[in-house]
Amino acid sequence: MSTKIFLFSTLFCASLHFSGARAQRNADEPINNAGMFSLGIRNTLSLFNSHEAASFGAGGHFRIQLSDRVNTEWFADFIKSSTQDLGRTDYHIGWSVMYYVLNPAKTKIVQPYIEAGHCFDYTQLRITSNNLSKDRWSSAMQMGIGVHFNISPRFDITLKSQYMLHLGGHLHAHKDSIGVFEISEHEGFKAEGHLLNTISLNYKIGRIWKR
Amino acid sequence: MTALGLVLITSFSGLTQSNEYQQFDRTQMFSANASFTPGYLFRQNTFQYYLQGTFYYFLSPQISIQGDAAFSFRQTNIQGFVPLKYHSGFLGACYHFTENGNLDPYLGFQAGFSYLERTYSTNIVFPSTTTLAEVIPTSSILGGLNFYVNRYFNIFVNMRYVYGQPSKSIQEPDGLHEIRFAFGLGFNLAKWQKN
Repeated sequence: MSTKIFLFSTLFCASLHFSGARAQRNADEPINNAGMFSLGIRNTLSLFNSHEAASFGAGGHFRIQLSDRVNTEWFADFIKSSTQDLGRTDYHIGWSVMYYVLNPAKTKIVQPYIEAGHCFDYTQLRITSNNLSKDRWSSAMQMGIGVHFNISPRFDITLKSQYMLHLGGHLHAHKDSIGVFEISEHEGFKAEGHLLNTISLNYKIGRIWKR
Repeated sequence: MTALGLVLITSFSGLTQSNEYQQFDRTQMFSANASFTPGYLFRQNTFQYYLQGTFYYFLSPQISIQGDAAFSFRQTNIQGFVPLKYHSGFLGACYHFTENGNLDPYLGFQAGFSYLERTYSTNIVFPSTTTLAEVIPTSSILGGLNFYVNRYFNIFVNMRYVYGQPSKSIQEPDGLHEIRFAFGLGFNLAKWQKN
């Protein structure tokens, strides 16, 4: 069902874009501004998790744009999932650098970009039947693609997909010989990742500095 | 009820007095309302009731930022994993299909957080209950209609789908799916546009 809500949201955004929403924007007003500070809220759907359950999360971020082509995003969110046996919560706090692949002067309404970044991750894994849980801190890096739909000069809806690769120790739940779940913590490096699909609404507050 | 009637009569009389003005300017208009909001949880097959407060602010005639806070009334039925408390807060934006005029249909999307508390029976032989409480991520898709009576009042009706994803589930492997319905009288502060 979380997939459905995400798809519905995507369709809603697309319908906004292809409706008359674009007409509100003054074509002469620049969108990309170095020093622009934005605030946003986000929902995230995480797929291909190691425990085979889709996760759903919410959070927020701010952006500081460095140049017409380069933007940065500083985010914090938490993502939850549950199966019949396990519950998992991931807390992310990190940053990404976004690069606009098309000339911003010519792509004021739809702005595709690529991004890469790093985050810190705190994970709690819990066995529902006996309420036992374990947690761990780790680090992760992420990269992906996205697109801004600039509904007005100051407001945009952003869709993006990024693959987040967790680095370091990880938690793993498995059944023992008598069929009881237990959680083990594995030290050392093991690449463990998931695909994060995010929809966010963003508003440009103003410039921190002028170019 | 009498007070509400007086407010409505006053409002409509205000509308008739505004002939020299074509309509009000929604840009930078601030509006707020409070309502008693019932919700229906599909998986639990039960109704949930909220006191909900809403504000929105127009960034442009067709884009508004909207925030909501809903306080749930405590449920007494603990069967079927029904939420005892399900307080929620949302923040997002709405797209308004008309730029001006008294009728204002809109669609919106919001992200948010909820405080969820659920109690369930843990033992049939020796009945006992366990309460699980957690903060969960939520998302909301909403649509509604405002009717601006005058620059100060509006009548609103809206419906929203709310999805919440818990991680402490015993009997529910999936999220909470809910439809909420609200209507009532809202207050706004807007500028008039002269002809």
